[in-house]
Amino acid sequence: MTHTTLVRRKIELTINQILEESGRARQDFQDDQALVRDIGLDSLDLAATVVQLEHELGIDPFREGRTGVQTFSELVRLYEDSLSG
Amino acid sequence: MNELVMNAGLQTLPETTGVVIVSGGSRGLGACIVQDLLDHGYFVCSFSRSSSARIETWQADPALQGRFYFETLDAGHAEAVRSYVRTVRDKFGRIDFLVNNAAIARDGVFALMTDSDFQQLLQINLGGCFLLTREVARQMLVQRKGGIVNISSIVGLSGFSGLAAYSATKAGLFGLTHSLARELGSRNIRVNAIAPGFLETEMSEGLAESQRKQIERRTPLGRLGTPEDVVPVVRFLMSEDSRFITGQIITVDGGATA
Repeated sequence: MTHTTLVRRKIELTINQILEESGRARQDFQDDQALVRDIGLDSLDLAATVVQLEHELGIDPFREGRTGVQTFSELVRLYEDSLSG
Repeated sequence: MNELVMNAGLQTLPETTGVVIVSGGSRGLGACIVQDLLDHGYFVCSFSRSSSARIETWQADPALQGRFYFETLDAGHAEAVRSYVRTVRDKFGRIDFLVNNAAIARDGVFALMTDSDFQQLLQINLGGCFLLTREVARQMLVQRKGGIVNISSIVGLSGFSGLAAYSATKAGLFGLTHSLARELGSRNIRVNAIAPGFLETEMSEGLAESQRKQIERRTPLGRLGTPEDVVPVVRFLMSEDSRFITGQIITVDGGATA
C-alpha cells in the first residue's frame, strides 16, 4: 500500500467512524465531495476528525492555522503534504 | 476504554465516577477538590507550578496507586499543557471531566499595579485555562461526552475594591462558560461555573481584618466560606444528577450576593 493510499484510508476510516458514532451511514468518499455540504460533516465533526487523525498520524496541520480546506481531496492532500514535510 | 484502563494498571473504573483533571490541585481549594474526588472514587490527575505536602501524601499512598497522577508544570505554556493532556489520555484512555481551578490572586490599587501583575493574571487565570480547556475539549469531542467546571469567584460578578484585574479574569470565565456550553452541548459536553464567595484558604490570608469583618457582615450566613462548602457542588456538576444543567453559574457564597 502506498503512502498516499494509507493516509487516504486513515482519513476515510476516521470520518466514517465519526459518522457511525452519531448514527449516520458510512460513505464511499469522492475526491470532489465537499466535507460539509456533500458528506454532511459539521464544524465539530471536522474538529473531532482532526483530533482523531492527530492521535493516529501524530500531526495536526490545523494547529499552524491552516484554513480553506473544503473538499475530501483537499483534506487528504493537506495531510499528505504535512507528512512529507 | 476498559482495555486502555487495564493497560494503565487499573482494575476497575466505576461507571459512576471517571477520569478528571483538576488544575492547581496542590493547595487551597484545588487540593480539597482533589481530596474529595479521590474519596469518591474518581481517577484524579492534577498539576501545579509546585508540589506540596498533600501531593506527596497522595503520591505515596498505596491505596491511590494508579488513581492519582501529578506533574509540576506552568499552565501558561502551551506545549507543556498539550503534553500533559496527552499523557493523561495515554495513561487513562479517556478524560471525562475538567475542573479549571488554577489561578493566582494579585490585590492592590489598580492604578499602581505593574505590567507583570497584569501579564501573570491574564496568562495563568485566563490563558492557562484556555490552553487546558482546548486540549481537553479536543479529547471530549472524540468521546462525545464530558463535563467542564470552571472555578470562578463572586468578585467576577459583583467586583471587589483592590481586586479589579483578578475580578476581570474571573468574569472572563463566565463568558467562556456560557459560550462553550453552547458550542459543545450537541456533543453532550456540559460546561458550568462555580462562583465561590471569599473562602478560608491561603488566598484569603492576605485580607485585612477589617475586610474580613466586612465580608462576614455582608454575608447572610455570617461567615467566610470553606473549601468544604464548595467541593460538593463541583462533584454535583460532574454527576449524572446535573445532566440537564449546562452554561450556568452556581454561586456558593453564603448569600453574600443575594
